[in-house]
Amino acid sequence: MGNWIKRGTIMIVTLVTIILIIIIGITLGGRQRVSTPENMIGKIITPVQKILYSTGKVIGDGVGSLFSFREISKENKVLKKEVEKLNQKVIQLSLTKDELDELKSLQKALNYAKENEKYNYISASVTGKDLGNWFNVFTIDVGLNQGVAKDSTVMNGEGLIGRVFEVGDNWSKVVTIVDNKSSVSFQVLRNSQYIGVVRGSVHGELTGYLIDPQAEVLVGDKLITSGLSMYEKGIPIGQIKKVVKKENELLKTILVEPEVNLRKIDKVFIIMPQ
Amino acid sequence: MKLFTVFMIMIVNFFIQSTWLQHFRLLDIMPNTTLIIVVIFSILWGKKKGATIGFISGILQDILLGTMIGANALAYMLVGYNIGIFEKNIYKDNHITPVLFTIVGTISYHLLYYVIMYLTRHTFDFIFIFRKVVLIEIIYNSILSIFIYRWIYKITKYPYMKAKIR
Repeated sequence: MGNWIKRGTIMIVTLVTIILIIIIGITLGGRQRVSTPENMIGKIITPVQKILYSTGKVIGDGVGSLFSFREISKENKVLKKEVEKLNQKVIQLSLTKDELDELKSLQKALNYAKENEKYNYISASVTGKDLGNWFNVFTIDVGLNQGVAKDSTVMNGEGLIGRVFEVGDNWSKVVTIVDNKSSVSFQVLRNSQYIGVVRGSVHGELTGYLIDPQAEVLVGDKLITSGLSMYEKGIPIGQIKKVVKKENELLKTILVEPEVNLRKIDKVFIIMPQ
Repeated sequence: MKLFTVFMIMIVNFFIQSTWLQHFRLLDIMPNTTLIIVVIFSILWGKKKGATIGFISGILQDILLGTMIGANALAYMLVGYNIGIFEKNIYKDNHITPVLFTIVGTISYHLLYYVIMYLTRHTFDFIFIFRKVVLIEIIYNSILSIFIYRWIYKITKYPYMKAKIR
């Protein structure tokens, strides 16, 4: 009898293992809708997480600033310089803006076909992040009830963050661009002819390649989404940190630093599907 | 009561790990307290309960924050089960015990996870992950496991934890 029970445990573990492997296979690519029990659990847990996350952020930022005030003062200097530069740019751009307005009114007058570039945003706060160190997933406090759909683009004021992976009633999972699962098609801001793809890796880095081997990209070039993948067009992704050209490879490989600090996100926007 | 306490520990741990601990990442890596708790319970209570606790905490994590349902549940369950096999043969009063088993648990968790990822066609460079993620996580986990073990050990000695539910 005792022997039978011993074997029984192994049998149960084996059976559960097989079932789990099947479930992994089914849920691999992310589903349109999560199942009802998952949805219920999410509904209960997400609000609590939201409160805890925001309090944790306050504490974390407080503790962090204690240790990093030297860095902050350094950053302050850099930012002041940048503000000066940007102020000059604003003046230049306001001049070009007037020109553009004129051209736009002309466009209207000529009955030009308009591109529909106005998106609907909704804002959301992050409720919790992935526990392990392998993936880069987080949950947000909006879902189907607010009109979020799978594969909607998620961003914040600085740039692209990721896409919605699975949607519950009032919560959803977001996969960030530095996750292994994600790949984004980009174009170089300086020259929109240069397009390519960046992928995430385990350690929070973006690596990618340019489709045109002759393309001349430099360190510091800004990348934006090209609209060819499931992400909306024209959202900043990051800056090129390194360009690698290997002798025996046709394509140029680039290392990109994301515009957004993905470890410190709190509020995000979701671009609603039209 | 026992069931309730364990369940509460799992839930509270999940909350803390997914929210507060996120703001205290060192070198971009954070300790996996879920794994530590699963390992400790299977040291104390054996393979059956270790596997169950591992399964439940894994499935909770998968549902809310996983990209596929079952990956963490499978890894935690197998870790809990296999460490629980040694339950009868170890000194439980020793402080080195949890550290040792947490190291073993962390490595086997990452190996299992790697196998699952490999089977689901994610390409990872394991050597890279081992250097950048696993080694640092082992250090964090083993330090934390000393404190968590002491605390859980104390809890399991309370009389209400010994009452059988069935």
